[in-house]
Parts: sequence; structure tokens; C-alpha cells
Amino acid sequence: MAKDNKNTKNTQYLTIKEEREIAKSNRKIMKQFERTKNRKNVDESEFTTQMHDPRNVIEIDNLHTYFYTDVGTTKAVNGVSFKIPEGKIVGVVGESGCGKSVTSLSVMQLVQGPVGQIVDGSIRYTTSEGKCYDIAKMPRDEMRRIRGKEIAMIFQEPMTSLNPVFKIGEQLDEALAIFEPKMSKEEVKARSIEMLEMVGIADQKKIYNNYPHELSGGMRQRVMIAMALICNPRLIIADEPTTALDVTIQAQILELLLEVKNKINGSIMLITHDLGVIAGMADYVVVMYAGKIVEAGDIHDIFKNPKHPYTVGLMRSLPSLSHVATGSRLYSIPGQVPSPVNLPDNCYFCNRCEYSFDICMEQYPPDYYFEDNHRAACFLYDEKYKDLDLVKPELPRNMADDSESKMVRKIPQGRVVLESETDRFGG
Amino acid sequence: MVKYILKRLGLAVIILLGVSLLIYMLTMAMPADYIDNQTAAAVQSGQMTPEDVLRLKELYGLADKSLPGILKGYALWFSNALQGDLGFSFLYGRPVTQVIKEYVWISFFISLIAYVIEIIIAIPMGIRAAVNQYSGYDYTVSVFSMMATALPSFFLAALLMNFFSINLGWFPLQGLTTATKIFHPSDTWGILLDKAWHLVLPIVTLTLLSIGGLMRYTRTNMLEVMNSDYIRTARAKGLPEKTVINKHAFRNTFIPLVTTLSGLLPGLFSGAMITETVFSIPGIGSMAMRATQQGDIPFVMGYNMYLAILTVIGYLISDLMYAVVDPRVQISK
Ligand SMILES: Nc1ncnc2c1ncn2[C@@H]1O[C@H](COP(=O)(O)OP(=O)(O)O)[C@@H](O)[C@H]1O
Ligand code: SF4
Ligand SMILES: [Mg+2]
Repeated sequence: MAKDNKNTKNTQYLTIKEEREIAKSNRKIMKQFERTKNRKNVDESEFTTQMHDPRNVIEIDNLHTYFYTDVGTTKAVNGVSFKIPEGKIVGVVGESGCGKSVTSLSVMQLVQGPVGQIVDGSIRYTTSEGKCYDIAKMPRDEMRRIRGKEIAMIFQEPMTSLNPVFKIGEQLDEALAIFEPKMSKEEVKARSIEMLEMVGIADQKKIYNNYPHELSGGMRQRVMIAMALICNPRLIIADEPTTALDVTIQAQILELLLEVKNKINGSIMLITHDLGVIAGMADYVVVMYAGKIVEAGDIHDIFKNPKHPYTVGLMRSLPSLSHVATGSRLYSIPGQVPSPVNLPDNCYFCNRCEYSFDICMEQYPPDYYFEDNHRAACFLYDEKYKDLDLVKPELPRNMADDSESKMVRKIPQGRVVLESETDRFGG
Repeated sequence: MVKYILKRLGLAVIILLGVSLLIYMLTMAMPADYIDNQTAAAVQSGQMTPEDVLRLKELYGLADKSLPGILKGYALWFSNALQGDLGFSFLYGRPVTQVIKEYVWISFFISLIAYVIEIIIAIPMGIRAAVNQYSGYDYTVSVFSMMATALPSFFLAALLMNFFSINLGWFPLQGLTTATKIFHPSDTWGILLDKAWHLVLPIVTLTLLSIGGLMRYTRTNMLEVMNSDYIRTARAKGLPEKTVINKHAFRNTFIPLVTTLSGLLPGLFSGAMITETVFSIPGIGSMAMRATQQGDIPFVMGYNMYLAILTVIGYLISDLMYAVVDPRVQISK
């Protein structure tokens, strides 16, 4: 679809001529996309579609989101497919720069344009009215049917995500007021205050009249959660909601997320780079690497029986009690995520992978499926190479048994749903 | 609050002291002073001897140009200035304060109108350019505003005069009144209209000169705001794009705009030296220009002190406005 800037060859540096060519072709491509997105009065049939499985809230299918930068095309999201079933929490993990945020912003059509564009793929979503839309094809004007009311988002940076010049109350009220034009000012205010109470803010009336800078990071993130929930969305996207917070506050916020999810009976897409957070929260896990999904599956499969060398690497690099006990050094995966400009044709992980073998350098691995839709993109699991007796990645002994409970970021005092924790993860 | 203002004013006095000393020394160091200028022709034709010139210089306090002499002169000027006496202008033969008072209003009038037009045009343009970054509109407006900013004022004025007065004959070339027309003193409207007619081109010149800067300032600030996290939040909430831009983004861009623009307010009283001179408008700017050329030390000193005071007041207003428009800023010290 989009023209790849292959003329950059393997050189790191571009000549002025090459740069100008890139800029020129970028401008053309961006203009095309922007024009399509900005159309008014588009017939609904153009972006109406069918869910593949009606039990899903959202189905992301072969999503490609690129950034047309001056140094070439950044393939931030490069063929991502996963779904979120109703009422479930799907965790998306991966190191920084793997395309997690861009995936979530694509779902909201909030990718920073005109540079960033959804290039290919579909994002199927069924609204509460039962209509199924392809968000990837929705014109910008129509997106307002989805944002806030259907899908809400909580961002990583509570310090900068609230508008500094408006009071908390005003920012909460306006979110509700657009979707409930019939509500009176007092009703809207009452509901905002009720939401603040629901997210565990004690002094709601005072906070309602505060400016964001008068609150701490944890409080602001609570406000963000209240704002996200105020219109009863069916899907909440939480993009590293606790990364910027203190450890103790982190646990409280996660606990709050779980609690409110149960209250509104919605689904959550929980993005994090911390497997510990995922272990305590998610039902399904998606592991992303360099814009692609390298492994996905049920939480038990991922934690008890991880297949992809990258997933295993992530788990080994998680601090756990055993490290403290044995005094051993914390593992970290050597090397770095490759630049999403000029990605190679081989397995993107091969330069960091301990298990790589011949074929890994030649092509990108397809998905291999295991039981329960557990899948991993790694040649180690190709039947063709069975005879090679390849070593498969495994968790260290002490981690393998009951690994998820070891990795759970212990949510301290006041975790109300302790019993359900066992049944969530099957004991 | 009061304490803060007092502190700032105290600081201002120190700044003004330094500035005045510097200006005094610089004007004294100018190679040809007022007396040299006035007597050059007479000396050349032999009507005056160098001794006559020296006597005159002594009379005007310009004879001793050694450092102690300059400092002594400054001290005298300063002690008078403290009592509100800026001295007599050599050139205009009247108290400096009186000259300033008389000629400032026409300058203020021109600047004020240009300022208002500038705001009305530049801010919406800057916002629109930022919202449609990289669009044809953005490029056109940026190039145009850069061109207008880059042109020297006398050149732009000359261009306008040539085109609109000489070629098209729409507006008068110079001055403030039509010399060939005689108005009855009771014909207030006629006189006013005639004056307004003369002021169109100077105002256009001033507006064009400043519009580019303000437009780019608005655009830059708006772009920065548009890329911030809270704008993404506002969109994620489902707000219409109009609300996102006009409420969330603009209210934040408003802060630097208000503080900067209010800080410029006192500057409206300072006159536009070049533009006024080119158009022969009898404003404070062209008066100062002439005085500077002639080495009229009392006037130059008085005028520059006046400018320095305006600048200091501008900064003070600008600071105070921050506390008014930005809820994060509180002036407590
Ligand atoms: N606004 C942008 N312009 C250009 N490139 C971007 C932009 N936002 C993200 N990217 C690129 O997309 C890739 C994925 O980023 P992101 O989704 O933020 O990663 P993360 O997994 O840490 O959330 C990064 O390599 C980054 O370079
Ligand atoms: S395909 Fe090869 S290089 Fe890639 S993760 Fe699997 S073993 Fe490692
Ligand atoms: Mg991110």
C-alpha cells in the first residue's frame, strides 16, 4: 500500500537528495490519508463491518500504523492482530518502543497526524447500540461516536494529561456534558462528584474545585480514571497507567482499575512494560516486539509455558524473590529493539536471540499455534526443523513452578478480591 | 502582592540608574555634539572662531569631555531628574517633558490602532496556520509574514508610498494635514478626516511590520500546545475538534499571548522613530530622531529615560498578567 522508502539501502546516513525525495513522497502519501480521513458526510456503509466473533468487544486485524518521518517510514505497528473478549483484560507487554502506545492510539484514532497514519488493517468494534464499525476506516468526524463514550483511554503521564488551566470539575463535567446534553448542570456536577468518590477520592467536593497542579500524580491518575469512566465506556485502554507513579501508588491504581472494571462490566486493554503488572491483572497476554506480536495467549500458557525467546527473556529479567534469596544478578536481554525504520527481512529478534539458527537470518517467522490459541512467531516450533533437536527456551527451574504467582506485583493492604485471585488464575 | 510590586519597582530604579548613566556617557562620547553641529557652517565661513565655539560649549555644559567631567554632568542631570526636571531641549528650546507630553499622543494613536489591527489579524491567522500545519495556508502565511518582518521599515514605507501615494494617488504622501486645503476651524470632522487620511499609510506600515512576528509567535505556541498530552486527552474524551482547539488549546496559547501583548502596551507611547520620520508625522518618534541626529543631549536623555521607564512598566505588567491568566502562577513573594 504505502510506498516503502527502499532507496535508503543499508546506509545510516541519507544524502540531501534522498532526504528530499523521502519528504516529497511522504507529503504526497500524508495528504492522501488526511484527505480520506477529513471527508464529511461519508456513507455509514463504508465503515460498517461484521465482527468475526460477537463475544469480542474489539478485533484488531493486521493493523499497520506507520510514521512518515524525514528519515524514512517508521513501521511502528506492523501487522498486529489480537482481540479483546467482553469483560476480559488483555495485557500488552513489550520493551519501550515496541509499538504498544501506537497500537492503542490507533484504536482511538489519536495517532499523531499527519505524520502518523493507519496504513492498513482493520479495527472492528461493536458499539453499545449494536453497530459494528471499522475504526481504521472511520472518518475523523465520526470518531466522536466512539471516543469517550465507547472506548476511553488512560494515559501514562498523569502530570501532563490534564489541562493545566481548567479545574478538575470542569474537565470532568465537559466529558459527560457532550454525551448527555439533556442533563442539567447540577446533575452533571453531581455525577462528576460521584465518579470522584468512586475512584477513591475522599475530599471530592474540594478536589472538584482544584486545578490539576494542586494534586499529586496518584490523585491525578485517579481523576483520569474517573474521567475515562464517566460515560460508562465498554472498553478502557490503559497505556502504562502506573509507570509514572510510585510503587505503592501503582498497586492502588491497579487495584482501582480492577474494581471499576467489575463495576462497569467493561473490558480493559492494559499496556505495560512490566510483566509483573500483567501477571496480577490480565486474562490474556500479547507480547509485542518491534511493531509485531511475537507471542500471544492465555495468561497461564504465557506464564507457565512461554514459547518465544523474547517472552522468556522478559520473564527472566523480572526481579523476583529468588534473586534476592540467591543473591544472583538480575538478567537483562542483551542488545536493543531494532529501529523501526528499515527493518530487516529476517526475525527482528535474531540479533539478540540465544537460540537463533540459520533460517532466522533469512526470513521472518510465521505464527505457530499451540493449544488454546497460544501462538508464537519463532522458527523453533516449525515441524520442519524438528530433526535439528533445537534447544527451546525455558524458564529457570525456580521460576517455572507457579511462575505467575511469583511474579505478581504484590498488591499490598486492602486488596479486596483476594479469593477471586485464585479463581482468576485457576489456583 | 504589594510587596512583590514594590520589590520589582525597587529593582527597576536600580536598572534605570544604570541605563541612564550608560546613555549619558554614550551621548557625551558622540564625536560631534550639538554645538559642533550648530556652528559647523559658521566656523567654516569664518564667522565664528574656535574660541567662540568653546565658550558656547561651556555654556551648554559640553566642554569637559573627560571622565570626571562627564560624571559631574551626569550627577547634575540626575539630581535635576529626581525632581522631575529633565532639563531644556537644546533643539526645541522648551522643557523636555513638555515636548514629550505634546508629541506623544499622535504616536500613541498610530501605534494603538496598528496594535489592535495586528492582534485582530495575526492571532486568528497564527491559530489557523498551526491547526493546519504543513498545509498550503500555513506555508503561504509563514512566507508572507516572514517577508513583512524582514523588510526594513523605511523600505516598506517607501514601497507603500510609491505604490499608494505616487502611483495610485489614493493616500497623501507625507505629513499630517493637507497644506493646500483650508478648513474652517469649526469643521472638526473635516479636519479629523483629513488627519485620518494621512495616517492610513503609517498605520499600515506599522501593522505590516509587526504582524508577522505575532503571527509566528501565536503559531509556535499553538503548535506546542496542540502537541501536548492534555490535547490528546481532550480528544480522547470525545470532544468535538472545535472545542478542542477553541477551548482547550487556545486557552493555553492565550497565556503567553496575553502576557506578551500586555507587556507591549506601555511601548505604544514610545513612538516609531523611522516610520514617523519617513512619513513626516510630528510624533515623539520623529522628534527623538531629530534630537538624536543633532546631539540634543537633554532631549535624548529624557526620551531614553522615558523609554526605559515604559519598558520596565511593560515587564511589570507582563509579570502581573501571568498571575491573572495562568492558574499555576501565584505571586506571593
Ligand atoms: N509521533 C511520532 N513520530 C514518529 N515516530 C513515532 C511517533 N510516535 C511513536 N513513534 C515511533 O513508533 C515506535 C513505537 O512507539 P510506541 O508505540 O510509543 O512504543 P511503546 O511500546 O514504548 O509504547 C517508536 O519506535 C517510535 O519511534
Ligand atoms: S525465530 Fe530464531 S531468532 Fe527469532 S526468536 Fe525464534 S529462534 Fe530466535
Ligand atoms: Mg508507550
